[in-house]
Amino acid sequence: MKKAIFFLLLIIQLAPVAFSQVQRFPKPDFESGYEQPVPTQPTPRAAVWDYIDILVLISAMSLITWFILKKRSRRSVFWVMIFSLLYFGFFKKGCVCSVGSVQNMVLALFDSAYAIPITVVAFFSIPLIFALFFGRTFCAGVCPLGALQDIVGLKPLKTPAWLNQVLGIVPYIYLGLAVLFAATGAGFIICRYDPFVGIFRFGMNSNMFIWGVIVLGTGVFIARPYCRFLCPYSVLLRWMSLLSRHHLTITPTECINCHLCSESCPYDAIAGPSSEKYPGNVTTEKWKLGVMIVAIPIVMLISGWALSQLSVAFSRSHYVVKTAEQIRLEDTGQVNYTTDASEAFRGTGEPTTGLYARAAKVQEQFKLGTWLLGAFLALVIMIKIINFYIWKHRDGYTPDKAFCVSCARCVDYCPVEHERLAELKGVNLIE
Amino acid sequence: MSNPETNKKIYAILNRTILITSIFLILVSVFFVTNYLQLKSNDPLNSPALEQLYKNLDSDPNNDMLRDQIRSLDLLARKAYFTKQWQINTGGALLFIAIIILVIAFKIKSNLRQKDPGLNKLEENWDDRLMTRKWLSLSGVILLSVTILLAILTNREMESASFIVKKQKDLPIPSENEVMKNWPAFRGPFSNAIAYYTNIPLTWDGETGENILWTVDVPRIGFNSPILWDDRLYMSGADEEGQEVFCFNADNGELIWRKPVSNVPGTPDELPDVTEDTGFAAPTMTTDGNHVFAIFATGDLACFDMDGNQVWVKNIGHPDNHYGHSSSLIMYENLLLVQFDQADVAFVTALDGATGEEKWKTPRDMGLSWSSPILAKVDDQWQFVVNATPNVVGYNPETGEELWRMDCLSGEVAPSSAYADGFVYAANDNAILAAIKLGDIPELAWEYEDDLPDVCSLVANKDYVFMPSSWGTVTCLDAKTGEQYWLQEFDDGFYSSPVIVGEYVMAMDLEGVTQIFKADKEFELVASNSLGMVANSTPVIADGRIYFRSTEKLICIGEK
Amino acid sequence: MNIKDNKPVNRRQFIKNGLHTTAAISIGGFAGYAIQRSSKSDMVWQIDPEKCIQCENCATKCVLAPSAVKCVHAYAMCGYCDLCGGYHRPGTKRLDTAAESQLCPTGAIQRKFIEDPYFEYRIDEELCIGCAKCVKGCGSFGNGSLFLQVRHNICVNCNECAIAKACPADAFVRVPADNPYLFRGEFKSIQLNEGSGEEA
Repeated sequence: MKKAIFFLLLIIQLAPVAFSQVQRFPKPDFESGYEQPVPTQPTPRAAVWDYIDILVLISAMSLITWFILKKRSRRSVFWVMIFSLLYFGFFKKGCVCSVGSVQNMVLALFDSAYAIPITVVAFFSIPLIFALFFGRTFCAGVCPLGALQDIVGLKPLKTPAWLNQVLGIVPYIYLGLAVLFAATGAGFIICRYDPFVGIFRFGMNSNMFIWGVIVLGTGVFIARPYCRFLCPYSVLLRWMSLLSRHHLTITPTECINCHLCSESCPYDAIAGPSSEKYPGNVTTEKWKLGVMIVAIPIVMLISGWALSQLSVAFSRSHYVVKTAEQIRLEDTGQVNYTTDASEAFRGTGEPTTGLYARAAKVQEQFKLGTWLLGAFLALVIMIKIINFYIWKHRDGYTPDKAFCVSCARCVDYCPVEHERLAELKGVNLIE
Repeated sequence: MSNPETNKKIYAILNRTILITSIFLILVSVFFVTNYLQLKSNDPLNSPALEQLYKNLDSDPNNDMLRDQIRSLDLLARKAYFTKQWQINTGGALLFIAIIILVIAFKIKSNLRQKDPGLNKLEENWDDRLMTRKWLSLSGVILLSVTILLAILTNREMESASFIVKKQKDLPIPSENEVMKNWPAFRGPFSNAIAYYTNIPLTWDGETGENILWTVDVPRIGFNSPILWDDRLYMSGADEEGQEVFCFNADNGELIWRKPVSNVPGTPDELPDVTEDTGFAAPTMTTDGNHVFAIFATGDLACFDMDGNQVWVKNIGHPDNHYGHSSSLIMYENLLLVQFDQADVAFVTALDGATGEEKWKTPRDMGLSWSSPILAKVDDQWQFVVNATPNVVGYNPETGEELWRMDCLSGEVAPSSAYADGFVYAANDNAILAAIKLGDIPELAWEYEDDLPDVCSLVANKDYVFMPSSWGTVTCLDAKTGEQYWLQEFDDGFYSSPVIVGEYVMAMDLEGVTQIFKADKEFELVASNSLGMVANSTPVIADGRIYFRSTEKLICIGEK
Repeated sequence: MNIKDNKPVNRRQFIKNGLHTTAAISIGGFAGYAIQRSSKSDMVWQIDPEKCIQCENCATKCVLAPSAVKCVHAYAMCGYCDLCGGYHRPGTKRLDTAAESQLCPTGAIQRKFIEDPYFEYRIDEELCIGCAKCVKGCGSFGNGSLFLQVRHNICVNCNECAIAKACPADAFVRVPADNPYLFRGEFKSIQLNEGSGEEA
């Protein structure tokens, strides 16, 4: 019998068959009473953890917001930050995070087959709602990425204002691309290039780890480089924070313009009193501003067109397009090698026309997407420039709502704050 | 609050901690990185040494020493793998702890140091604002220009890499008239062997050079016939070394381009067996005026544009027959029709000429065939007529739907049918010559049993059917009744297919002598013209010219 | 430049309030829309074994080391062969458990004699690195009862799975966490209780 099976196997080896579900060898009839084991199915972590996560998120957000706005205590913020780093970072291994959740939201919007987990929706919307009322308290100490950078920011250097503004464009580009790739189903680039997930997981994936070390190393001298110059979620938080009604203030009551806080902010997010009105010719300025405003739609059109010309290159990041390209190269004899992907495709038996049609569909999505992205980025940059034509009156020292992460460092430097604390203590003494 | 003495002590402790941790950190990092690189560059689980030992064992299965060697090396490799894995994980954890200690130490140190309050006023000034404005505008302009520049530079590449089908004007489908003026397939327009031009010389002589305009070499042999579109001739050639497509100037015989058909995905690993008189390039090419198409004995099917740029290539199957694949291609509008009747698989299929995309494919329950399909226009409706053992079948060329079939053939079918005036004439040696009257229900109008062909095809007009054979006979029959008008015996047999040119019939025999006789009730030989060499292809009849291909030469005949 | 306005505060405040409300509504709307089509359970990654081409990426691309992908054995599909395409190195002459006869690079498959002529093959997941060499062997020469699966007690469920990104066959799919396995063959649609020992 053994020999027979061996012989049968030899015959089959001579005629290799594709991986198929054909039961080549019949199920044996056991006489010894042997019972077939059943493969185990270890479960993922229990669903209750999802709700615990949401609960922890809401608690941490409420707590830190209260610490920032009511207690005005940097020390308390710091400890919430450490907790978040440990829980959301090292315990939860950094997934899913609010930054990445943008992509899940977009995918849910465009891909009807994708059912978005409720945790992800919570992680996306709760920080934004808080930001809309209280500023970027999420960044201050709930975001594990921010927390990690905040801790290593030991020797922050001042960067010139113009550089901060120019680098501040990058998050818009990153966000736009992330939305484009998520909407077309090409992938989640925010997660792919997340610098810290490798650290949270002690990841073996060398590139991720190295990237994380580079960002953290930079973070020693340039405070929170990812938050300020890369983080795509920060764009949404900036918008919300700009509209916030109860944002952190440096001084508890009125600024006395002592400028003691001026160097306390490692993120260059404190704005001093405004300058005199424009010293030069105001009429020319007005003209320039008018031209800029009129130029917005034109620049948007040009930019949208230009970027859409590159849509094919962007579409190559999509699995379907990549495979279709390889298949076409093979079919037209332009290459004489095959890839794993092209062989896998051929194994499915799907006609190439079907693949090409799918690729064309993806490319059309990319065409539209790059158009919108180009126009959006043009609009962002134009508004940013125009912003520097408009003069706003400001008396004292206030946080720049867009860039301030509500870390509450500046509060400790304000003499008015010290006075308030002393008063509080005094009251206590009397009691 | 804190006294300077304790502060100093704390400082000293902190500094020492920082120093020790830093050294530790560096050591662990070095160890970590080298370990990591080692694992990357030298994966113990895929050791080439072990592979080699396995190979040795396979060739020397009873070597127990080799076995022991493999066992110990394998154990070593597994140990190395898991130890390395452990080392990396532990190293990572150590690294992490060291960094935490370092950060905490630095943090305490910086907290201890009295921080200076800010002394600079942060007053906003216009210089800064203007500067920011300038840089923002500059970066906007740079971003936009780089994008535009890239868009322009990569425009061509992007276009070719796109899968979006552009709504461009479809390539023109040649009109029937245009097809008739050219010679776009085996046996000319619709593969029916009836020439449009009749202004050809009736005499020539290869030996004396009479009316021979030029003779050029065809770089690779092939038994296929040339095709002609506008002023260019196309043909294929193939041998054990390779497969090629050639384009010649029809005016002066200059070779305009030659393109290899290679690296075809799915092509058989070994060349199929072919006989010497069929070869690897027996099927004739075809064209729709926008592309030319060639198929080879390997089943490789290639499409080029008229300038020789390869548009697509694919293998449609591995031909399995004992002479070599020889069914020619034919074009219906923009569809390339392929007959593929092999021992193991038989089908007809239509591919989109421009893309190679399969439009339809109809399996056939037929035997082998070496015959070539023809197109027949019946009541304003085109039919695709295909011969094989034992049936002649008519298909709708647009859908692949079978319209009718007639059981009348047997043996190894090679001759193609002829079509004229509602009748399809099909014949094969050892079978019959069948005249099939097409209609709602096709019927066998008459049959004829003598002097049947086994290679060369028939030709017919509305009055007569002319049937040469490999044994040198030519039979003329009444097209409607099958009555034999005459039977003429020539010195040599016929492989090349006959062509009707106006009031004459031309048929070239195995010695390269073209017999020209009247297409009439009475036999009347008009001329016997020797080419001066052996050729078995079907001639191309063009405006004032005739083109012959021998296996190695291309000859142009015309009035000097 | 100054914005000339008699009551700048009021107008600005008005616009600001409007924007504030708009922002609140948009977040709420977006989140509400997402929740409406959300799944209660989390989504996790899994390999569709019918698409898998055993390219060995699973062993190397996972953020974890060793990979969270392991070989799983559907015993009910197994032929219990003496010569196992998944266990034995091709070309091996002796059907024993010696290192030189085994295909698995880490020796993660345990072979046990059951009764003549049947042998049971068990995967030791501690040792398995998810290289799929045995899956390929079993698929080519056997019943295909060995296949790869993401093991969810190990997987950390990255938002974008690094192996999914590298998978040439697009075999990674998101599945609901309460039904997180795609087993081969007869097992596919059957819910199995761990350790129940019931045959499918």
